[in-house]
Amino acid sequence: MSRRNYFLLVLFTLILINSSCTEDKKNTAQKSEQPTEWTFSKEIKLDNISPIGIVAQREFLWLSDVDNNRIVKINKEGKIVEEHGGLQRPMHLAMQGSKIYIPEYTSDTVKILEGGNVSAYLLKEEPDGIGGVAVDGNTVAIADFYNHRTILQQDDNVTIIGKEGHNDGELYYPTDVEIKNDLIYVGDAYNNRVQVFDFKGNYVRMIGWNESIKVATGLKVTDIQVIVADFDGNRVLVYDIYGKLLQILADKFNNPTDIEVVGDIMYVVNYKGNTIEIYKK
Amino acid sequence: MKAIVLLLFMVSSFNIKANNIETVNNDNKTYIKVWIDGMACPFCAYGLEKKIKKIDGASDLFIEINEGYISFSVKSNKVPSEDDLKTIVKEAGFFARKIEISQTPFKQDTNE
Repeated sequence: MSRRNYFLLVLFTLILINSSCTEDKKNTAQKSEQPTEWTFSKEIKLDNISPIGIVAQREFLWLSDVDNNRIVKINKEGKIVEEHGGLQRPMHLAMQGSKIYIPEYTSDTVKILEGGNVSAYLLKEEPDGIGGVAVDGNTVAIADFYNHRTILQQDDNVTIIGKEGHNDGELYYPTDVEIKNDLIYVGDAYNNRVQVFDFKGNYVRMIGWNESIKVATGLKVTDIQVIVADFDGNRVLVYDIYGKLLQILADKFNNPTDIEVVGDIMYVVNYKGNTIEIYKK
Repeated sequence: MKAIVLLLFMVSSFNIKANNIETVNNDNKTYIKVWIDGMACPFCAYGLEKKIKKIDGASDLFIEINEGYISFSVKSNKVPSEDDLKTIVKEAGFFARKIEISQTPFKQDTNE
């Protein structure tokens, strides 16, 4: 190879590398330019429903109606299209497939609603006031309010996460729990934060401390965000999964308790406002 | 004389009926209302309800979150002491600001 050809070959290689890097940068820029801000869209008014928990099922929303001891299925206009009563203070719901998991705060049991039939989920550990439940595969997590802990049940195995306290890894009246990507996110309500644990119960990180959350009553974890309902602060706080604050939503809330996200739509349960506030990206 | 005896019998008989009516109306219940500070969150309010339900014979539970009180009834021979009530409220995470005890219901409504 002549010196000139060798020079051209090196030059061509360098151009290719540079072009590849530029493409990567473009891709990165495109990813970071994806809309991350939630903007208010509309409000669903509720009639005679005191909502705490929410899960979405196709075009419908299921709400736990704690004052009336029932769960209700509403359409996008807020009309009740189905209801199941006889529950004992149902709180934060979870959904897996066609099953709706209903924690009963007063009876300390978890009920499963499927196809109109209600059955009981067998708990291996006795809680005292189940604030919320989360389900992922064969793993069920429970926010155990009065015992200041989270119970993780995988078939016959039980792992106790947290104990009463205010330090890292300790809980104080937890009200909600979520499972995402092998991590447990706990709404550590009266420690004013969200805490993250692994399946062995090891403390991973804390979210929300810097924002002076008043009561971290409910949360929703997506692939990229952790969204927290601040009950007494009348706010919804949006973080990335590592706890970096992205956005604070306010003005629309009167004691928000829970959040559901379906694609680019976010539903916020407004307990005292008796509404569902809808946000879009 | 016969008239006096008959009158006494009628008065005595009326008293017995009146006492029976009073007993039936009261149903041997005592009504308790506990005023709580800071009971805004439903988890707290219904937590207190959960603890109160464990009191022997507690019924007619009514909880008013906005005004901050819980009322209930117990059998009149099983009225818990104020200290016991304060302990139960404390276990639920609150402080009992005021406790009222009555032989008549505080309110007809119930959300039990």
